[in-house]
Amino acid sequence: MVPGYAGKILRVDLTTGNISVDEPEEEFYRTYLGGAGFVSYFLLKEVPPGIDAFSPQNKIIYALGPMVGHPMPGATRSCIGAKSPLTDGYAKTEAGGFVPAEIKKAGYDAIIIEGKAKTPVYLLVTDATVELRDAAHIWGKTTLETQDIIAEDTGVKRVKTAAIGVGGENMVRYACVMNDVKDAHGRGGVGAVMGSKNLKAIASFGKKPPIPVDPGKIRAMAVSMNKEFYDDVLFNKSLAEVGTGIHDMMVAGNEVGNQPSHNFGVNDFPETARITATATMEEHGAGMEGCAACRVRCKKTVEIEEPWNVDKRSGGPEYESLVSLGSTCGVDDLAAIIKGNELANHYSLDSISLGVSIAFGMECFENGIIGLEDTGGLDLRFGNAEGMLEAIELIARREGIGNLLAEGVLRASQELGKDSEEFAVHVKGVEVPMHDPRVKQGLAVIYSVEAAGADHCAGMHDTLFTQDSPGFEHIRGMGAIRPLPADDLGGDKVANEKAVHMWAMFRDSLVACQFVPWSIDEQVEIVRAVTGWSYTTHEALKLGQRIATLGRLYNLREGITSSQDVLPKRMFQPTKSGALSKDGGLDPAKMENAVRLFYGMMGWDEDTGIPRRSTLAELGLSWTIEEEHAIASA
Amino acid sequence: MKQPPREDKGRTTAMQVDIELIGSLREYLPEGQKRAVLDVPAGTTVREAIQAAGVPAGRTWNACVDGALVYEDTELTQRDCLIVFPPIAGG
Repeated sequence: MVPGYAGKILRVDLTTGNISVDEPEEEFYRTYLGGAGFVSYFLLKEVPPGIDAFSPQNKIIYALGPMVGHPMPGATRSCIGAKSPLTDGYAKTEAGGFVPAEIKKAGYDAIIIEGKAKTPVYLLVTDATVELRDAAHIWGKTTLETQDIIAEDTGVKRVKTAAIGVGGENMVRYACVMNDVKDAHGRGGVGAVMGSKNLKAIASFGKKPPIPVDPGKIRAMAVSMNKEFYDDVLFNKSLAEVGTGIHDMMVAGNEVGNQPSHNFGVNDFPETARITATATMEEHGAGMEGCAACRVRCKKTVEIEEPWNVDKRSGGPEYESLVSLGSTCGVDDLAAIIKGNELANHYSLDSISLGVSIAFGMECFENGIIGLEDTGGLDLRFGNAEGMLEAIELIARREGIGNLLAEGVLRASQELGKDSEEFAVHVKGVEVPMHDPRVKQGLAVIYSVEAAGADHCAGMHDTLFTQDSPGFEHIRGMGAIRPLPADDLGGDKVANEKAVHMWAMFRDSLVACQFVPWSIDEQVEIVRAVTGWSYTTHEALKLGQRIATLGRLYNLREGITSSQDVLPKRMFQPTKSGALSKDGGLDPAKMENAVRLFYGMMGWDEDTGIPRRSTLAELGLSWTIEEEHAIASA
Repeated sequence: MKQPPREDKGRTTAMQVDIELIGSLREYLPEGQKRAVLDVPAGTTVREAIQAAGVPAGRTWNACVDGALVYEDTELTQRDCLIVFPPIAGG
């Protein structure tokens, strides 16, 4: 028994149907904690090198952490890892909802799935049983229909699901896994991996919550955070009122060029006020919902009848979706954007990669690289809202132009040629999120180096930390140096980013929501209260470094080198209008210098980004060399 | 990103700066007001102008002039239009 945890990892072989349970030693839990820690360990240790991401030998690692299953705000999240069909490297992605807590209450800290079922199946995980069930009758259904059908199948209304829709079934390279229909394990294509295994869903309900060592402390911390949350300046009641993408933030973000428009080529969208979260809730809002045990309730629910029907249970658009399907595609039709978000949720498509891939298609169309004969008559110009929705349908079904766009912008541009690479906005194959790195230049470094590709949740958003503030005090505790302008790319800025990146990897091991403003010290206190360990902030940051290093080792083994730690060409150029149109591009020399500094700070060779032998030893990762999973720098 | 060269709109001993507070920062202006004109000395910094508008120290903000992000110690010039907003983030 591992205190505070379930103490078990479920293993499922879809090829043989074999189901087994591992009970790792407490030492393993202490070293890797859970979530991203487990993902990073098992990917390197167990997934064979050089396989295709759609091979049965790929594994889906669905991992929880020590916080999950305990009644605290922001505790109900899961982390999924696999070999990515987008990058051919490390995929790691988190989501909230209810199903993570159910899996923990069913008695498991992680589920590792390998192989491929002969016919579609879903995995039912409860405290009474684990079984593979026929999913032929659900294959082709949306994630919402899937949840309803499984509830009927099991006779348990409260069953929760982590499922794919047709996007995952058709192995769209950026297909995602939806927790509870509307919480996306968005990035890296893990839903496509599930589809390649004929695995439709993981369904779970459980009755045995994990027992913390100090339940009084857990309760007190939860009560305190529930009261204090609304006073926190950054994460205040605006999240509870409209979720992410509040009017002020979006209008301001557009003003300074942070909000992409027209495939990151313009970033000056006068219609922004029409597509904000505020507008969403005013015009179509049906209330706010939350994840298990969380009082923040930052999840929009929306309802539309005309011109497109949007089901109240499908979930509403976050900031990323509002912008990726909105201004990035030149679209200012809010109802269409909301419908697009529903389709993304139902079909299990990452809304960021989806929007950027469609925008890529739009820019190719407007520049004559593809025409009506390629799109089957679809007018794929920027601003065509109906065209955007039609493109989503085609992508999910891999039909016509949708089959090309389903590959992601890297592969689509390689296939098209004709200088379309210029319009492919990605890092390592992962489409860039809706925070422009030309504005948030420290985040640009994280986009470049993060093993999972451009990830806006893996680093510090520069504009939040330009002054001394309670927010900056939080990150001082992680190792940040001093507040700096957003466009500073010196050593202190890199140190700030490194500190927050370490914390982000630790946070993704707990697996904790970043919208609940626990300080790192408080999160460490939670680990202590759950496990009884004398866990420290130092240990937490070391875990962060361990995870980042494991991700890098995995990528290096798969042939992804520092040559891919670069932003696309567009990021070194100004935009066509708006705030970034004069001197808007990143400085390549400063970026290169910043990336090299980051490598050094992480204990990796500054020239190659390869982790040093001494760093591996310090992190307890010598086994990666000894067992020949990785190479190291001297 | 290099800050664009600031157009000198005419230095005087004192100057006027237009300030617009966005969102929750508006609570520091009189009811219903979004903007104010500040009479400030030449060379006033962004921090000083924001404090002159009543926003207390410790409140986190971002600010821009002509779309370009500006910071605490940036010096303002005559008739700059300073827009101050809650921090840009999102998920």
